[in-house]
Amino acid sequence: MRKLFSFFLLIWAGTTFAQDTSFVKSAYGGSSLTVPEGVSWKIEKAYINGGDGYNILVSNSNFKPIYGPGEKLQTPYYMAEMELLDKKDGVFYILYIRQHNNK
Amino acid sequence: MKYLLTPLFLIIFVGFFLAQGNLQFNQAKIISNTDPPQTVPAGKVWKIESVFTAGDQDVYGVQTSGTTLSLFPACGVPSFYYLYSGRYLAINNIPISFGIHNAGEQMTNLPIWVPAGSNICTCTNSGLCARGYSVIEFNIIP
Repeated sequence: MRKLFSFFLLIWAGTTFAQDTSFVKSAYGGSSLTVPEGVSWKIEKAYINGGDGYNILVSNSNFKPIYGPGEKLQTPYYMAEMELLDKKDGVFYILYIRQHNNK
Repeated sequence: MKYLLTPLFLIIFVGFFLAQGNLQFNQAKIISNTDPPQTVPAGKVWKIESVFTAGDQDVYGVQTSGTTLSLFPACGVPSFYYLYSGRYLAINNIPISFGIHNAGEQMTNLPIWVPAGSNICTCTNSGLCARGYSVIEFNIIP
């Protein structure tokens, strides 16, 4: 019982005090992602993939440094790094995002 | 428990070794057929985008007569009878033609991905060898 209590205490502490989380999202070029309220996003790194077996790292300068709450993150329809892909249509982005809790 | 952990371990193990690397553009290179043999550096991969023709000829027929030739002595490629003419490179000691056969078929389709440690050798025979080639070099990143 004590172990179970400790386990839930650990989860509660983690969710209450943790400020930053990291996750990966994918989106097609030209689409957008909306930052939820109460958090901000920073793109840590981004890759593009044209459906082949490899991802190309793209420059972070293609994105804003910080996306605020409710802001739309627009993935560019075209960028210079797409020239490195064999197929340029249906390119999708793999975004490594650090989310900061603003509360 | 054993039956649960074994597949889990296998998935992680296989996933780790089959995971594809991500690539970062490093540089574009043009290599002439008078340059020395090139070795793809460790941690890089080369994408051969284009192979240059030896002259104004781009379509090649089948040679009906001739002798074996040693086009790539610097790379130790053995003497070889080149049945199809045109735009040869040797990759890892394998002579590969990038010409267009007179039946209309491209002998080898581009691009070609060349892994680290591979050796690319050029030759200078005007009728058989590529004039050079262009590559994009990528860094392999985790």
